[in-house]
Amino acid sequence: MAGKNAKAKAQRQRQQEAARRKHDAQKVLAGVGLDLSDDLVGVGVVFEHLGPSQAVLFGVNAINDLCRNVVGVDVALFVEQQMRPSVVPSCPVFGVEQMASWRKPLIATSTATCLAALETEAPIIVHYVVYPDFADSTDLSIEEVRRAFCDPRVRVFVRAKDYVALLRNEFGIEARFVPDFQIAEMLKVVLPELRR
Amino acid sequence: MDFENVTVVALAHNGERCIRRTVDSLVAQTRPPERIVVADLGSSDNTYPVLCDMLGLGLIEHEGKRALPPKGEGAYHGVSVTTLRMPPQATPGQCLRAAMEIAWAETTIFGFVSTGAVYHPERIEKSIAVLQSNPIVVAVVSDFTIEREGGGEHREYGRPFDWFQLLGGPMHDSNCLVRKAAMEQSHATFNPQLHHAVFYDLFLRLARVGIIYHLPEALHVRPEKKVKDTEAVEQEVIRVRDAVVKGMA
Repeated sequence: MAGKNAKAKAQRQRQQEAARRKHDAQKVLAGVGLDLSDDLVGVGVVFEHLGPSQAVLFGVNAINDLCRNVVGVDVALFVEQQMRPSVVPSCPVFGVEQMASWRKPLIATSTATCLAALETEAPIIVHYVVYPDFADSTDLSIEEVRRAFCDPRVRVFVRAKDYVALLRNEFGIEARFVPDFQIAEMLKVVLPELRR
Repeated sequence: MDFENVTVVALAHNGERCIRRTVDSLVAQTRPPERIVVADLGSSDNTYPVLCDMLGLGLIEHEGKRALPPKGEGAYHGVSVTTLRMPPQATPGQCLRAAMEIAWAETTIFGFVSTGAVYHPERIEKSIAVLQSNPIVVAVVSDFTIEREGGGEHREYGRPFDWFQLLGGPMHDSNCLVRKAAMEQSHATFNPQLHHAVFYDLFLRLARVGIIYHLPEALHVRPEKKVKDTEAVEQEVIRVRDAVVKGMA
């Protein structure tokens, strides 16, 4: 009798443990706007280079955290200038030429990388404004710069609250504020939209 | 409580109208510095007398004449302030080095203020928070507002640190907070031979040991700067950059 009770108790514990794990996994996936029933999602992040810079410091650290904590999201980096990384990424790194066949969401980290991302078939492009580089770029026409912010495929996120007002005045768009390249916050907005 | 010892070095050159405003902005910080060193770089106007007046320093016998002391100390709104008068032929590099030497031993973070700049009340507090939360960060710069001579203001968006951009052109603002340990680690204080690119030279060297963090908020106001000799500035920037790149090879 005692053995039968112990067996039932163990089974109940296993069920509780499984329910707890499922709940934890759901919570982690909800953090990036996904559900357990969703397929594996791929996201590309485009950097100009992986040398020492603030974009790389925060960007690659946030991506490494995402890779470590979230199972359902596959991240790939695309880099314009190949060089030794200042922060070692724990996901694959490709040259931007490989981006041509990418059909998943892309996160661009500058105006130039956003324009490169617009040449691909990515359904949604996140333009993360580390700083408003369009103000001092002389090699881009105003039409090109406008495209990098106002294209229907582009969703703009900014690093500083001050940039929200700047982009509103400059392009008439409403950017969202996400400090220090918190990629999970951006995916929470983008991935549900992609699912729809 | 941050356990840091902050010394702010303010450079003054012909700034009799604005030096009081600069020092007032420093003592009114939410986290005031432990010490302020104001170095007068050979001003031809009344900058130094104004400074001495702020500290209550009077005339003394100096080299057989009655004159203001070349170096004076006093308290201003509860903060220890040191004034330093440098000869007109001194370079900005020499001036900054002399000012830093006064408080080198006890300081952990050095702040720098250019002539006429006014700090936002939270500037030092926010910069210290960044330096403490990221050990890799060696210096903190920020956006700023330019006051135009004819009236009006212009918000300047500075670029965050990027090694490639730094090699491409000089940093155009010298108001920053720098970790002293990073200066020791990179053997980078100010080059006494430089006239224009003195902060650019410092940032290039600091960038080899850590990240220069850019706070994307307008945290100081400075007057419009008139560069008299653009060609000389460009030549010095190129010379500094080539020397640093050559040293890396």
